[in-house]
Amino acid sequence: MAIKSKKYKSYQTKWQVLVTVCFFIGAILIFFCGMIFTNISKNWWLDAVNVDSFYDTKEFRNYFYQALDQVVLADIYYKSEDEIENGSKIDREELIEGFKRYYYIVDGVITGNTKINEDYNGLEVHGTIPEKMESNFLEYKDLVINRLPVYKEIYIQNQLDEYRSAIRFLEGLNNFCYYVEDGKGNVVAGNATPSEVNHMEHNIMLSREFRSDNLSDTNYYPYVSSLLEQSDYQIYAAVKSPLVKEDGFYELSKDFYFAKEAMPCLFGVTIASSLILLFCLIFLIRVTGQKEKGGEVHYLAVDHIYNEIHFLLVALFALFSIFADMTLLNNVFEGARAFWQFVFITLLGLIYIADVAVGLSYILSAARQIKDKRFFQNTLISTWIRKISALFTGATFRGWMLLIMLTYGMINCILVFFMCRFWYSEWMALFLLGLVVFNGLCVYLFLRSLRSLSRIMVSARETSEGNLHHPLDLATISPSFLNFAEDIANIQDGLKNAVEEAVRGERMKTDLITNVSHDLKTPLTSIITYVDLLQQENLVNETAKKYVGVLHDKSYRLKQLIEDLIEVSKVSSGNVNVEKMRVDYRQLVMQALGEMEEKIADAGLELKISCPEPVFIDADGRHMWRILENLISNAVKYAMANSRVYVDIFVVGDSGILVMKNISADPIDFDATRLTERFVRGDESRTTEGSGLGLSITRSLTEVQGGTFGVEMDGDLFKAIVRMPLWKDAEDQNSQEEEPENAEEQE
Amino acid sequence: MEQFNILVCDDDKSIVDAIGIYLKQENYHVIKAYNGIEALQALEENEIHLILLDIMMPKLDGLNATVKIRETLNIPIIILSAKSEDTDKILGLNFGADDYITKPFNPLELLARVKSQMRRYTSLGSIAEKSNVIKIGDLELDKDAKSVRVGGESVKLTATEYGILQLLMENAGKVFSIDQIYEKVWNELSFAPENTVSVHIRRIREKIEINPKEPKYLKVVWGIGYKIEKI
Repeated sequence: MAIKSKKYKSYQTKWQVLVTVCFFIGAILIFFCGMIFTNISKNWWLDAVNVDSFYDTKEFRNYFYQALDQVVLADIYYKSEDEIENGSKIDREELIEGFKRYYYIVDGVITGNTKINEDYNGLEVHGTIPEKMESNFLEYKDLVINRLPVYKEIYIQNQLDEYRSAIRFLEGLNNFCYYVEDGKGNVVAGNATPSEVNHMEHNIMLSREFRSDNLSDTNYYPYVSSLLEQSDYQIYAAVKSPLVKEDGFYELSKDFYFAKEAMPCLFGVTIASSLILLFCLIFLIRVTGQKEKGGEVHYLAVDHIYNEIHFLLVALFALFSIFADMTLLNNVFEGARAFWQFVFITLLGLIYIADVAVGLSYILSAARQIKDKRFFQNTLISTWIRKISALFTGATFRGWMLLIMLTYGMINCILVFFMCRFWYSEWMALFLLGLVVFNGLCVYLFLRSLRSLSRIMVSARETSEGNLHHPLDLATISPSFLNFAEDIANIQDGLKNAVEEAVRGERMKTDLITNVSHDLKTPLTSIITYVDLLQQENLVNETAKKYVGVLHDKSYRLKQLIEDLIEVSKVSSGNVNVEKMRVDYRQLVMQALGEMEEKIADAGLELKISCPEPVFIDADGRHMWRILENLISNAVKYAMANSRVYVDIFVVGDSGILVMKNISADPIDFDATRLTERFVRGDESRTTEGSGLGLSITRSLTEVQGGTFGVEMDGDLFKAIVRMPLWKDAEDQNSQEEEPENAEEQE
Repeated sequence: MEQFNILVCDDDKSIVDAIGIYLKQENYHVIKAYNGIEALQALEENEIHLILLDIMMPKLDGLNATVKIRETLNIPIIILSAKSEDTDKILGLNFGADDYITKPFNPLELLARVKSQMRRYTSLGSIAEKSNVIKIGDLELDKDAKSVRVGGESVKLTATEYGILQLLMENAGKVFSIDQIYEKVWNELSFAPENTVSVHIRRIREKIEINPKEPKYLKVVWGIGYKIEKI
């Protein structure tokens, strides 16, 4: 199952890439089809599709009319080279205009008062030329005499060229048959007999008054030629059917039929590509953003654009590219050079691909968001609607306040406005009343919400002071502060739970210690008592007596160990009461020494106390006694016999420090700081008396009272340092020398 | 001599038996019970002069049994418990117990406490008060005879020890610092009394207290001084 789904997943990614590639290939195919279509059919447009015969195309008629133009020019206007050469076809106006333009001659006084003669080689003056223009006139005259004949020769030569090219054009047209009749019905020119022409299918007859058109195309438009209309000639023209080879008509028809044959193929490819495009698109829409059907939708960066903005960007891009396409296409059609055509078409293709990519990206983005039902959520409008509606629902306090204030101000403005408007009528009283009532209401509501706020503040204060039994009544809170009040209530609940949890944990810990101690002590009680009873029996056997003695000692030692163990677990779990008071450090040490005097003497130790000034510390006397007891016991156990132990008490900063120094009996070859850890002892073999808990208890007890405890080694010199905070009460400092009369009772 | 009946109640049979042996040696008659209910039954059936009661017992625990007993009887109740916390002790004494011994206990201490309670119970008010006698609990100090007795038995004290004890007993409940004690007893100004006073105090305690480590009368107020508890 897992393998299958994984396979399915990986396939989908592969397919997605493949289908995207297909999509682009389809798009590119359509582009090429379009390009080819425009290229081969640019002369034909839709004729290539809906016109069957070449003779029915507009292009055919255009070409036919072009041929007719040549006939009119050659056989009706110029008639022959002789007529051109003797100047009878000269258009005087045109010639002189051309001449003047050629030599930059501007019409004015000189040209107005002169006239160029009929032979175009002299000037006739029929007015007066002002003297100051004499030189200009002479220059003009010189131009007319010397240059105009030359210009006339060129003009005639041009006409000859035009005539000859027309003749040549007509001679090249093998498929074009025509003849020209003059007004009297005589054939004056042509390349075919009247009967030939009249029998042809695609013929035309033109005269001044009458015309017949047998060309079969649908978009008929008449042939117009002013030259023909000014004469009384008639033209009969026709095109052969079928066409013979090697002339303009034949080449055109070849193009036409090629385009016509290519058309179905192009359309087929286009339609197929479109279908592929469509299917690919559907598939991509179906799978986009998802790994399996109905699965989670994964977004791309583009999906985070607001949808309207996205749409506008895409539309803008489309508009831009359409504009660019138009410009490029124009350039292509206006017959730019082959190289530039290639460049333009490539550019067109690139823009087209970019368009397709942007479009596809947009459609898929929309598809992903519609699938996840967040298309409308991810619009700028929807975002704004949500933001604005948040103002109205009180979800944001600031917005809510703003809204209330705006509303308040607005209503007041409206009321005041109407009051002013109806100042002198009875309505004014009504609005005044409204104003007073409205403001009164607002003040009332304002005070009510202030009361809610103060309630919340009181509750928060209580919470911060640790009183969790002051629940906030949410029903009495005004809606503006409801969210805030709920938050506070939640904090209270959470805190209450945490405190209860902590209390329960604490109780469990205490219970554990109590129960374990009970379970250990009960059997120990029996052991101790029965060992004692055994000792009272009159044992005859000396060995047995010795054994019972050992049992007695060890059972008491076990008792001590258990008590230490319970104490250390109590102290380290913070399960001790600390009742701090003003404690005289020196007195404390002396009391402790008094209690321990016997043990110290037994160990052969001598204690030296140095306390130059009274030191009062802020501590619990009982715990301090336990600390000193432990330290002295430690010294008794580990100090070298018959050595001295020094106890120094002094003040450093705001702490009272006790340093106890002794010489260790055995070399200490391990990290001394570890001594304050539980169960670490000076002798690793653990043969000596002691639980290894003494210094650990000491450390915990000092810490529980806010002090610190440390151990230092210097060779065999062992230093224990107890640092306790000094007693700080100003009154007590003053009455330092007085005795504390009512010291707290000790249990 | 009248034989007194002592009720020993603990759910651990071996402890009850052991205590029974000790008490028999002291010529007490022992009645045994193993839970609170049995203890109450034994009280109904016998005339009991003192009760040794464990706290943690099945059916009815020692504290509730104490409350029940105190409804009708005024006899001494000594609680015997493995619970050694101060709060436990205070709780037990407040519930109506007369003494509180923590397990594991020293058998001799137990016996001493039992005797002390019996003495108080049986001879209450029988001794005529002398004018110059200070009596605190079982502790008597006769200023005329310069003697000290604990539970009727005389205790040997040195002159210094007697002086200290007298000072403290005359001002029962008041705390004296080492310097004060030194000045008043030695009649000298204290310069550096070292640990003389505290050593003396310890010795006094060893003589007058049943368990010197948990003194009943002469208490240490650590870092402040010493006092005799007002009882």
